[in-house]
This record gives sequence, structure tokens and C-alpha cells, in this order.
Amino acid sequence: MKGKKLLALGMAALMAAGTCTMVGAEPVRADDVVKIRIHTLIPEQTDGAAVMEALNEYTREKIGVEVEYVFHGGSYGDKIQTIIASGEEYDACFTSNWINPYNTDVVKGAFLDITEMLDEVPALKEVIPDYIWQAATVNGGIYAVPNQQIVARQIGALMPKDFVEGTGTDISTIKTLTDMGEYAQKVFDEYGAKVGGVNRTQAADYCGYEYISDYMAAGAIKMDDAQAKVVNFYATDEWKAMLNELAALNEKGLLDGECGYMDEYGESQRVAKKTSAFYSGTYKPGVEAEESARAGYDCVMATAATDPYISTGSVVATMYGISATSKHPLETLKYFELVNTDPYVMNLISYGIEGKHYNKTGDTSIELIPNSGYSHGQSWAVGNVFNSYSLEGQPEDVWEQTKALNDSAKTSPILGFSFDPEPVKMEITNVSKVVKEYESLVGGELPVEETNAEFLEKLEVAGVDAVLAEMQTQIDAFLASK
Amino acid sequence: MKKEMSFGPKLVLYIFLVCICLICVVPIITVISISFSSDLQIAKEGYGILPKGFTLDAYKYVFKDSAAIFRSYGVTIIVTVMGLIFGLLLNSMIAYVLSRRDYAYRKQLTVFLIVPMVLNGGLVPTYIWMTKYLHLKNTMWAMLLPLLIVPWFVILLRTFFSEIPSSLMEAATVDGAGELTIFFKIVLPLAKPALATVGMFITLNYWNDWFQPLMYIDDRSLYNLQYRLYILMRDVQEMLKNSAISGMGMSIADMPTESMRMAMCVIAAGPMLVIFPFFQKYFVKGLTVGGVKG
Amino acid sequence: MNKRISRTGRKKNRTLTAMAFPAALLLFLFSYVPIVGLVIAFKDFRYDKGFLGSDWIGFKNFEFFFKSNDAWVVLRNTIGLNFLFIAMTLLVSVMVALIMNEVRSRNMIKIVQTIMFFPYFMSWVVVGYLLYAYLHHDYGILNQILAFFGLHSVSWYANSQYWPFILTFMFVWKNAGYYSVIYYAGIIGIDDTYYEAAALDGASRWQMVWRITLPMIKSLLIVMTILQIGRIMYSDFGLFYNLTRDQGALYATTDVLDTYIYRALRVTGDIGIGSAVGCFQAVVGFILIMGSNLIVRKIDRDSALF
Repeated sequence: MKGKKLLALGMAALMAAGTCTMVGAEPVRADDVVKIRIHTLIPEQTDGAAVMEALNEYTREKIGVEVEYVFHGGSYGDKIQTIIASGEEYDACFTSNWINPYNTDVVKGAFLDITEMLDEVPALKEVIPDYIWQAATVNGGIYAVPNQQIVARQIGALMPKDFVEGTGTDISTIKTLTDMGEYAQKVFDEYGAKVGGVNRTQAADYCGYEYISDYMAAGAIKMDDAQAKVVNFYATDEWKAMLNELAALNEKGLLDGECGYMDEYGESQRVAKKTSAFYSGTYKPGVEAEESARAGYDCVMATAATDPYISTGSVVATMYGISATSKHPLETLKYFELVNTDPYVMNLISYGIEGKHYNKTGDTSIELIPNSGYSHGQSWAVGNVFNSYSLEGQPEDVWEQTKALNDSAKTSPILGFSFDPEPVKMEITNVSKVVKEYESLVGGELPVEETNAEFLEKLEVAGVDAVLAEMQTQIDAFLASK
Repeated sequence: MKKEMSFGPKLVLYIFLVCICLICVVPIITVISISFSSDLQIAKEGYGILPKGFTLDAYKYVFKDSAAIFRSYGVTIIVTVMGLIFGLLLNSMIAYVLSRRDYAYRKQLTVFLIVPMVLNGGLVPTYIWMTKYLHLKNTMWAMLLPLLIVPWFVILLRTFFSEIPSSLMEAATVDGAGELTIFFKIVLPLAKPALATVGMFITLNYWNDWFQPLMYIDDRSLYNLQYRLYILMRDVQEMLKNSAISGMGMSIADMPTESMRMAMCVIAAGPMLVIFPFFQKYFVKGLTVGGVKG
Repeated sequence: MNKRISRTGRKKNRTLTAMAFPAALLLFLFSYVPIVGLVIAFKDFRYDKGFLGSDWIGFKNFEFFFKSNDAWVVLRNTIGLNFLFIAMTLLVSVMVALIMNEVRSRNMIKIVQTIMFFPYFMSWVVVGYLLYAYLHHDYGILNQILAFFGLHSVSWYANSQYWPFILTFMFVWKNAGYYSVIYYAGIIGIDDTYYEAAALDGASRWQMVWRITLPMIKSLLIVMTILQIGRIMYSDFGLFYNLTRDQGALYATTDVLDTYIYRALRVTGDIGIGSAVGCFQAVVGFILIMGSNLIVRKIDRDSALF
């Protein structure tokens, strides 16, 4: 079988590599240079060629590798599955739980198990914390290299600074929608803006639960439940309580519920300063500065009552899977080792060439040059964000703060578990459909008790019990094997 | 001479036409006016028929990398022109063959044409065939060839060709003309409205295509217009979604999404509207000379 | 005499075949060869095993759709809506084509045609946004008009019963111009002598339309309709996805085969299922085309497709 053959090849390469001492200690000959190909969702940049040139000069010398990034940009999601299915020979591709689904790819044999090979790249193994490697494990194997960034998630509500100050509100007291009541009323009276509510894809974050898979699969566990008992999220008291909070706000005319289930609408309302607060996105050090720049006005964030939490989902949000069709898996890993440990490489790919695309304003801080021809803003899709420079508006020690947040956050009891939907794929499709049908519940317009009862009934017909049972079985097996 | 219609019914017809035209025109005017509006004002006040806060920002943003846009115009024009010439020629030739009742394999050929209209191999097999076996990745052929023969157009043309009286063709045969001569000298000239119509459709088909470049072109210099615009829009959406843009002073104000979307529609469709009248010449008939007799 | 005909017959057939050859070859290369790939409809496709290596699982991929609770609703929506689309578009575009034929001024006709073609140029993404501006619950133009007349505003995106009409209207809006150009091209090909003879006989305009114009473009109408019927299992994905903004509340009347499978693929990532549904759509389409063609042959042999 193809997979086994490649693994054998990989092992052979490993042994061969083991005989040389340190790569880079001897000068690399031109014909030794290995070319690798990486598919990524970073958009193509006008000045990309120059940056790649510089990158390859460096990597050729250091590890004898030349990299060809294929920048797909916004069309990545549409193309990558076809590319993988066609059996194209490439070395790595961006994967996560929200695009090019990692789980599915692994189960269908798209990626290579690199667990053994990681011993050959000790620096890479070291720089990424164990709990992150754990989260990237599927069925006992590791198939991708995670990019480090903020993984601790804590849902928060972004609010316009002048609204907060104008109404004399103390942000630290606002932890839930109910707490917002007074603020919402004042803001509506003075500025005519309404509360956006809660984004339905993150309702679990607000309620203190962790989704197994995503919001459409209905299964969740309570964040601090070490036994990891799977429940139907939409049947929990917390969900109903949240709905009641939303309905209460709506009744007073203070809720613009569509924000919660119509994606672009929520964003455009926020920008137009028509929403005074909206539970969506997560808190991280420096987020307020970033969001202020994005929206064009100052923002502050009120974090919710739930604690920062790390789940498998947040970790696998950005990774590079090593392709099963790769002819040079070890060299690819060596490349990723470089990206994740060497700040020069990280910043080169993330921000471009110093002087041309950015100027240094401090040891590790920079300011970007507008219209420079190279700025994609997706350093989280490159490698180890903690090695990158901090930008204007971010505190200089932003990465220390972030790492501290990551390390101090609660980790999920099922970190490293990923649900395989195959045995219940029919039921999950049905359940997802029903969930989508009732998403508008977060709009606060519909009568909570009756509609939710209807919703739960339909879920049962769709087979949600089978889904939950399967999830529990898989989780129990996972916990037992640890 | 065609009898004139009495006033009453004529008025009704005209009113009907006016209504239909309004329904079709208002949206496009809205699109144009949004493309010239300021995004911030749109976010605050919603869409309108007149531009809100007149600005060229959207167009400026799209044409920022003007070299790239012009190159993609070039690519699209080349592919479309080639596609039109060869497409019209080949599709009408096979349509002509189909229209000949005395052709021995008429039935089989028709079935051969219909099957692809309902049966499709699927994205992955097509992709593998095009890239691994035909080696068409990153070539203009990938944008040209797959769209060249369109069974729908062939059947349409065949239906028009069938209307041409066979007596004309028999007469020509008796005079010693071969099939090709009949095709070029008799059938084509008589089928001008059909050819113009299908020609227009073929042009539109190529002009609007963004799917072929999406799957088969990675080389920026070969992006066609629609695809370049598509990517521009999606990249902007991606950048707005990602919160690592701080420090660039970039905000929604700098990336006018709403108006840009509409500006792209205008940039993409504009040239087609200019081309349309050229084809129209051949398939619009008013009070022509032939109608007046005595 | 016979021999001569058969010799020219053979020569004629050879030339004709040669003329059809280039197009046929291209069609074969780009449309037929990939059909082989449909084999994954019957396989459990794995990336590392590829097309040849993946396991054969017979009709299991087909079961996925048919055993689902929603198969009936989805099929009903697909066929029902497409039927509405075909019928209404036919009606409107033929009416428009006939009306244009009554108009004397060439410029007027050109202007109307061009304007009616505008919607065809707009992508469903753009149209989706415009529709949103009309149907939005708070700021939407339609609700503002309703309020003006003292009526209640409607939550358009939350009620599925309005959508068969909304979607049909939008489909006709986009495509009527396109089809009217085709039918008009057919109408102007009708020889004026027919009309003159009828005028001499004292026929009214209405009679001329009913007895001359329509019958003369009968073949065109029938062929176009049969072809559309053949694609009744396929839907314009852009239309369904963008206009409804993928709102779950509307699935009851707007979820069609193509959108259902698109969502299923996102959950399962299984290409085999997509292929299986594609096979199904093709088989049904083929049967429908054959069927309707047979019926047409019984009524009027010449108008049939083949």
C-alpha cells in the first residue's frame, strides 16, 4: 500500500540522515538541494517572488531545502480537497478544523504519520508544548505540525469604547448578557444601537460547554467535566437560560438578534457601530488594539464569565499536514523545524523584507510600510507566532502575555480527541440540518419554551441520540487508552 | 403588409414592456450606484438608488494593481475571441450535420451529444484527467478547450438549421456543390440570427467563466478577469476576517467591501454590455424591407 | 440510378462525419473521458488508495441519501421548483418574444432586449445581496413599503412558505431575457409571406400569433423544454445558496439535492457520496429526456429531439 511504502522510504531516509552528523555543518552541494511544495491559504502577494527568493537563499544554505509555496488565498477551501484527491505529489498543506478538515483528511489517508520522524527533529518537538502535540493526535498518530498561536479561548463581547465611556459603564462587571442590561438600555437611548447577542457558533463557549466537533453536531461536554459526559447541548439548562436572556433583551427592544445567525450582517452592523456589544470571537492580549484598527474606531472587550479554555478545536485551528504523497517528508519536517524555531524565517514569510516591507521600531517590534506589496496579515498561518515581531498597537510583550494565557488556561479533559463521524454520518447530516433550521433561536424573537421543545423533538427524530451515543463511545475509548 | 395593431392592446403591451424593463433596470442601477458609494455610509444607511457619499474608492482599490487587471483583461479577451471563432465554427458544423435528415448516424450523434448534458464525471476525475494526463494545468488551453463544445448550443443551432428548406440544399447538390460548400455558402448566411444569438452566448460563456481558472490556473499572469476579481473579493474578505491587521492603519474604510463587490460586477459585466449591440444587429428585426409589398 | 445515389450517399455521409469529427473529438476528450471517474460512486474513496485501490461498496453511497429522513422533501423541492422555473420562464419569455415581434421600432426592440439581459449578467452573489436589501427584516425596502401601507412587516428569511414564489420570480427575472432572445430569433425567421397571406384572409393579430407564429416555433419551444426537463434534477447552486443566505429556517421549501449534498459533503468529506448523487441525477435526467422525447414523437414526429 502506498502509505506503508512511503513510511518505509521515510525510515530509510531517516537512517541515511542519521549517518550524517549535523546538517548544515558540511557545505551542501547544489544537487543535494531538495525541493518541497507547500499548499497554503495565504493570498498571493505582489512582491511575493522577492520574499521567496530571500527565503530560499537562506533555507538552501541552512538545511539544503528549497520551498515552493503555492499561495491559494481565498480559493484554498474550494481547491485543496480536489488537489489531494487527485493524488498530486506535494509535501505539506494547511489543514485545520475549519478548512480542509484535518480529521477527515487523516481518516481518508491524505497525511503521513510523523510521530516517529519527530525524533529526528528534536528542536521542533521541543518548541511545541506537549499538550499541543496531544491535541494534534488522531487515533494515536500525529499527522501535522501545529502552528503556535493563542489557543486559550475565552469568549468576549466587543464594544465601542465611546459607548462604554459615554454610559459610564464599568466593563469588568459585565460578564453575561444580563449584566449588560443596564448598559444596553442606556446605549439604546443615547446612541440607538442594539446588542448583537451571541454568535450561534460559539454559544457553547458562552455557556461553559465544549462542542464535540462543531455547533451543528449538537454534542458537547461541560468544560470542567473530567469524566467527559456527552450531552445534547441544546437540551441543557445553560442553553435555555441563554435563550431566555436573549429573549428578555429582545422584548425590551434592545436586541438585534439577526447578528447571531446571519454572519456578515453581524460584522457589518458592528462596523457601522449599530451594535453595542456582541459575543463573538475570543479574547487574547492585544485584541482590543487589533479590533480597533479593523473597525476604525476604538473597541474594548468584556470577557464572559467562563474561564480561558483550551480544546482540541482551538489547537488544530492552524496546522500543516504532511502529505502521504510527499517524497521528502523528513526534509519537510526539517523545514518546519526551521520555521518554528528561527525568527528570521518566521518574520520573513510573515512580514517580508526589512526596509522594503516593514521598518523596525524596536528590538522585536515593527511597523508595516503601507502599500509595500507584501502584507497578508496571516502570520498565524505561517508558523510559530511567538517568534514573530509585534506590530504597532500590540504591547511589546504581547507574546509573553499570550504564552502565559495559554499555559494558565484550563485544558479540556478530552484534549487530543477528535470525533470520527463516519459511523453516524447519516444521523449527523440530519442533525446538522435540524440545527441549522433552528439557528434563529438566538435571535430572541421566537418563544423560547415551545420552539426549543419543537427543536429537541426534531433532533430526536433526526437521530441525535445515536450521535451522542457514538460520541460517548469514542470518548470513553479515548480516555481509557490514555 | 402586417396589419397594424389597434391602440388599446398596443398600450397594454407597451405598459407590460415598460414594467419588465423597470424590474430589470432598477437592480443594475442600484449596483452601479452602490459601486460609487462610500462603504461607511452604506453600513449606516443601507442601499439606495442614488450613490451615497459619492466616491471612487471601490474602483481605486480594485485597480490598485492595475497591471494585473489589464493583463487579466488581456487573457480573457484572447480566450474569448478564440473561443468565439472556433466555438461558433465547430458547434455549427456539428449542428449542421445533425440537421441533415439524411445523415446515416443522425440518431447516434444526437445521443452522443445529449449524454454529457445530463451526465458529468465529477470534479475530481475531471481534474485528474486535465492535470495528470492532458497536462493542461496553467495553460490557456485549460480555459479554452473544455468550454468549446457546448451540446446545448449545438442542439439550439441544429433546431434553427432544420428550419432551412431542404429544397435549397438539394438544388445546390444538383448543381454539384459538396457538403462544405452548402454549409458555408447557403446554410450559414441564412442562419444569421441563430449564429448571432449563439455567438453572443458563447462569448458570454467564456467571458463569465471563473471556474476553469480556479481549478487549473495557479500562475498569476494567466488569471482571467472574472477570476482575478473573484480572488480580490475573497482575499479582502479573508483579510477582514483575520485580526492580524493592526498597525497597518487598515480598516473597513480602506477596504470598501460592499461597494467593491458592486464595482467588480460593473467592471466584469460592463464590456459585455458594450459588445451586446454588435451581436444584436443580426438578431433584431424591425420593419425591414422584405415586409413591405404593395 | 440507385447505385449513383448510394455512392453519393456514402460520400456525403463521409464528408458529414468529417465535419462533425473535430467537435465530437473535443466533446469526447473533455466530457466523456472523466465519466469513467463516476466509479467512485460505488467505492469508499480513500486518498491514499485512489481510484483503483479504494474498496468497492456497491450501492452504499446511494443509500446515504435515500435512507435519509429528508430525501422526500429534498426531491420534492428539486423537481417542484425546477418545474415551476421551467414553466414560468417559458411563459414569460415567449410572451416577451411575441410582444417584441409586434413592436415596429428596431431601436426600441434593441433597448428592451439589452435591458432584459442585464439580470443575466449579474452573478447570484451580487443578486443575493440586493435581495437582502429588499427583504431585510428591519431595513428592507419591501417591509418599508408594507409599513407605508399600514401592514405588518414580514420576517422574510424566517418563513419558508414565501420562498417558492420568491425563488421562481428571481429565476424568471434572471433568465427570461436570455430565453426571449432565443425565441425571438426563432420568430423573426418566419417568412413574412405567411402573415401576408393571413392578412389577406382577414386574420386578426391575435389569430396570426396563435396560428402562425407559435406553431412555426413549436420545434424550438419543445426542444428547449425537453433539454431543460433533462436537467430537472440539477439546480442552479448559486441561486439557491446565495438568495436564501443558507438560512436553515427556509430549508423546508428551498433545500434541493445540490445544496443538501453540498452540506453533507462538508460534514463527511466523502466524495463518493457526491458522485453517487451525480449518477442519480444523470440517470433520472436521461430517463426524462427519453420519456418526453417519446411522447413528443407520438404527437409530432418532426419536433422531437431524435
